[in-house]
Amino acid sequence: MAPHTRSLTKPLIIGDVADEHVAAVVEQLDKRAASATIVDTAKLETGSYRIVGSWAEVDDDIIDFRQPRKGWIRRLAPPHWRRRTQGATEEAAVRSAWSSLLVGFAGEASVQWLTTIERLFFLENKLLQLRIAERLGIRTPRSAVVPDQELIPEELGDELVVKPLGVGHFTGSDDVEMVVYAKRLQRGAPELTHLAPAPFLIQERLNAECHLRVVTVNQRVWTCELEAGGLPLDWRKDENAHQSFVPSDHPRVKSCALAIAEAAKLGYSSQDWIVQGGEPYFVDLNPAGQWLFLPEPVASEVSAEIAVWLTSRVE
Amino acid sequence: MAETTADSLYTILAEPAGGAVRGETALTASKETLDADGEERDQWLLTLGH
Repeated sequence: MAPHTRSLTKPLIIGDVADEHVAAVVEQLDKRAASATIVDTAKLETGSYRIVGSWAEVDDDIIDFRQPRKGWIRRLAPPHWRRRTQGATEEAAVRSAWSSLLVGFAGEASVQWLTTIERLFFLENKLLQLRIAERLGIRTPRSAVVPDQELIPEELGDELVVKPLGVGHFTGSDDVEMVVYAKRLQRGAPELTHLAPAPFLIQERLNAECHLRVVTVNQRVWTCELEAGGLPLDWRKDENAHQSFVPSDHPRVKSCALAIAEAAKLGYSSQDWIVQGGEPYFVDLNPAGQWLFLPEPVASEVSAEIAVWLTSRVE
Repeated sequence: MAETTADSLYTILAEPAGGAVRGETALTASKETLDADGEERDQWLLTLGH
């Protein structure tokens, strides 16, 4: 018998109980007569806490970090937490203090995380994601990041897709929330004279027959499909598209998606794929993406799988 | 060399968020609930780094 240690400690969830995804996992834990300690920056800031050495108390929960436990990082902070903080101000120092306090939980090495905080951050990077897929021999759209329109490689073709390499949204000068979707552009488009101030990812445009949303939790994988006909290039722009996915079976995509997640050391991943000419292409992934908009039974199965893992033995 | 300008593609391509964003806020689909992961990433990386 493998020398496993039975985890008798509560799993740790970094997130907000009001978050739908945290709630879905907690519901699954309830079904297994299990519970979790749930904490994020806002909870620390508004609740009671005490950290002494390897012990932490958060409201009524006590965590002994010398004991192994499982953990899942959903969100470090609620949306817009201390968002207006200006850099290099006292407010920024205060924000940093709360952030550091939470990292004292979310970065704890004795916790066996579904995905570690380092991988969560770094694997949001599309360049790293694409290289992992390419090393595994998985098809990806030809991609480049260049500071000048004339440097766009010929091999990308004339029809291009441009998407942010950094964050995809920001608050505009008039306080309006702005989004930057993936945008289809011709190679000679005037917009592409603006590549120098901020690096963007430029890719060959694939003619999508369908979009796939693939979710992995350790060795389990689910694929859902969305017909591309009539949808904008970036399906997320169409609110109805989110409810139009149907469960599907793509064995090759499933095995490739698992290989990517394993190579990236992601216990959970939410991946976007495109099928063109019957061939699947890995587009990108979100290491903390949502899954509850996917159809049943997929949504519940993903929540349950995370709960099962959280309550399983610590290895 | 092609002519370049000071505006980034963020300025050129951004549009007001009226609905779902990033495929990650589909359940709430409102500008009030933009995910914190991306927008906060840089500040968190700074926190991790010190």
